[in-house]
Amino acid sequence: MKKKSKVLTLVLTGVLVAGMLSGCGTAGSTKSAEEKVFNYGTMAYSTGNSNVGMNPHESYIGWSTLRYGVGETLFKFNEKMELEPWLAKDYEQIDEYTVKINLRDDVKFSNGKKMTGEAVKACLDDLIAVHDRAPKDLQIKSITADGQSITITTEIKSPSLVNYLCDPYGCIIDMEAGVTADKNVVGTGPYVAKTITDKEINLVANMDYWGGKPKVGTVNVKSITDGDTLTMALQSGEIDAAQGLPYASLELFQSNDDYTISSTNTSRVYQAALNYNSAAIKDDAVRKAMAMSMDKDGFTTVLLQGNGTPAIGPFPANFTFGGDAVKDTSYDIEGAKKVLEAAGWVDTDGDGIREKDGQKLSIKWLTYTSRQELPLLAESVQASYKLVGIDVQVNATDSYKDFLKAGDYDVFANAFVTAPTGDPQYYFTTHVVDGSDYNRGHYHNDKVETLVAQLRNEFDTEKRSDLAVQISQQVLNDNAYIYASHLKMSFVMKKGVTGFTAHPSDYYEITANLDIN
Amino acid sequence: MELTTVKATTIKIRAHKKQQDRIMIKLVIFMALVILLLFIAAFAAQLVPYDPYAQDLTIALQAPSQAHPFGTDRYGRDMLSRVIMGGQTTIYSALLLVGVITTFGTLVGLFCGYKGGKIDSFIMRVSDIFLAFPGMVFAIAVAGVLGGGIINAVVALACISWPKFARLARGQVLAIKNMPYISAAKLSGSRPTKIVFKHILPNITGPILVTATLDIGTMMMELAGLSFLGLGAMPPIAEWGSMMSDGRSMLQTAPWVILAPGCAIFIAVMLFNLLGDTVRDVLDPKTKKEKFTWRRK
Repeated sequence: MKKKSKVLTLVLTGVLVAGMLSGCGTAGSTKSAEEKVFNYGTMAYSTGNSNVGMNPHESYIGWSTLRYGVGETLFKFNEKMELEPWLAKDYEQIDEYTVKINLRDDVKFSNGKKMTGEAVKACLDDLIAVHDRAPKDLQIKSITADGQSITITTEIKSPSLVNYLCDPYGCIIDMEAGVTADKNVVGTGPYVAKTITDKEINLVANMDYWGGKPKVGTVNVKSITDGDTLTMALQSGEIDAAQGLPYASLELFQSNDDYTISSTNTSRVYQAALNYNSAAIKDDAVRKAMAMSMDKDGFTTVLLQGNGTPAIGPFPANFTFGGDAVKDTSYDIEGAKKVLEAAGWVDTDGDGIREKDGQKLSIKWLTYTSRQELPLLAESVQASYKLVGIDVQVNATDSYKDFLKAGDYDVFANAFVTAPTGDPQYYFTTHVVDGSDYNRGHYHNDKVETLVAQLRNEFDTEKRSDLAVQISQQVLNDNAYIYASHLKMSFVMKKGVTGFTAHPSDYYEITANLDIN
Repeated sequence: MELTTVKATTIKIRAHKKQQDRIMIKLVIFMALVILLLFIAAFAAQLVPYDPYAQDLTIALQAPSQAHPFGTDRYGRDMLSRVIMGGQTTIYSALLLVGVITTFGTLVGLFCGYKGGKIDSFIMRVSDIFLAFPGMVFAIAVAGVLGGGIINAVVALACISWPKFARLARGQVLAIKNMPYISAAKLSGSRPTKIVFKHILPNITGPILVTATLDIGTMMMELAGLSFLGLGAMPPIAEWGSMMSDGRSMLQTAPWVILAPGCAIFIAVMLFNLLGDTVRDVLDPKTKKEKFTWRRK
């Protein structure tokens, strides 16, 4: 009996050891592309961001189409935000109103159909027929297709048409395949969406992808909108990579060898629009003092923990018309006090807040919380403005649109991608000219109007850049906007993940280069 | 035989007396601690070692040290000062809230209980509607409609909490209003207001006071909960719930930012609940008797 149990013990031990060894063997072996699964947690995919689905012709959904590798645009941006051909080979500007785009000959949709000039024409026709922003941006009059080329004629001179075609809404999809009820489409990208919900997208590799075989078979994009949950999901191994981690959590991964971080500066700016309809803000001295009292360095280095760069103007330093191409007022609390005093704003009742003509210098700072940086900025200026005698009433609410509509604010602080097309025109035409969609400060300057009109008609890149610098400088001289910082975007991933890098455009995330070992 | 019974009764009385003494000692201790807490909260502005709103980014997120016993937050503000200042907001808001719901609920209950009839039925059905909703969800909805701010949070919680007191007061009034002394008062020509406020109210204050005291802790938690969700105190106001919410993402990197207000909530709520329990033991003879009987078993 004893002998028997000893033998049994030996056999069981042998089986266990063999199992363990074979287990090690499996772990060491390389998985095939089809077997590899990449779980990606992101804060950027949600109903709140208006990007749930895959149909680029609706709202901001194109961002998901492009980010998660389902769709591709005719042209794309490189790291320096310069144009590069993608689905297109090249383009020629026939005249000021006409552009001819030559398409690649080897591109197939994920359903195997060839991407022809006719297919691209059908896609762009649908885009300008149904999309809310594209017709205004593109100003297309007509499109003609001829084999592997299309010719676009615009209503007005459109020097930045090709740049606008890089916007995520410009993803080329097969219109014959149409759009399904769950907003799925057939694109040309390395991945195909299998299931789409507002919480998760399940993607499988398009093994016939024209740009090479994807290295990972399945990608699951999970919407995790709570920063702490996202952090813990990455720590527990539930996801392989994360986008949008809170700055406080980034520190945990920076000092850990099991993770790698890919960061890049983007053109997403945290800006404050000063409302000229407000009596106090109309005062030049108040705006100047406000610009002088914003501690941009402290905000970026301490509150954003280095995940951002102090902004001077609307565009970051990687653009020729951005960074220190313009000058702003430096942080100077004492100087700001003098500016206010000279303008007659004096604290007469000793409560630390200045008054003029019986009016207290109190401003309503409207912002929202879905961008974690904005409430931090609000609280930071609240303290620094108090030092110069300006009282700040922060209203951080996600129903900010109601307040904007009612005009109930002195300052509106928001986050905005200033150069999504790699070109400065978009920001100016949406923010600083009369009647523009996002001119929340109701700013007007004749010189700016003239310069923007020139920019709209200028085709020479260098001259466009010069004009952009002049306009930005004028906006800064008027202190119509205060630019706090540009966002540094970071992807945190497990050590074995490669080919997953943050791009300054914030457009390209999942590509055929993605691999996981 | 008789001597044994007398002995047993004496032991019983002594044990009862001992029990009562213990309760009184507890009451004095908890009362003293709560008064101390209220005193700290009342004189927060004078007691804080630093300005709780002064930012100094150069000392942001410093771990607890001699200079800053509770550390500093991400704006470089002293956490000890903010916890003390936050006590004022949190505790006095909770007291205000309990005061409002107790007064309003009791008045409604007195009116309904004494008056009776259709109006009583109507008001009680309204209170049923309020009680039918899950409390916190309803409060979130009300606070969401009203917008942020500690006063709005108090209003939101008051909206959902008054029926409890109305029902309690009404029940007590119904039990008392047919007592002979009330009938005597009626016969002697006393006006209804005099009967309600002079003869009924003093006799129902016991259970209401006990419930109110026990509710302070709960309300403090709910207020902190609303603030944690961003529907209570607005920045930069120091309030324990919103301070915890602010520090949420730093639990792993700078735990003191969330632990300091968290412990403050824990201690304050525990103190008010213990005081509430003791007040109940003192004021509510029924519970006391039951407790005593249970102990004897």
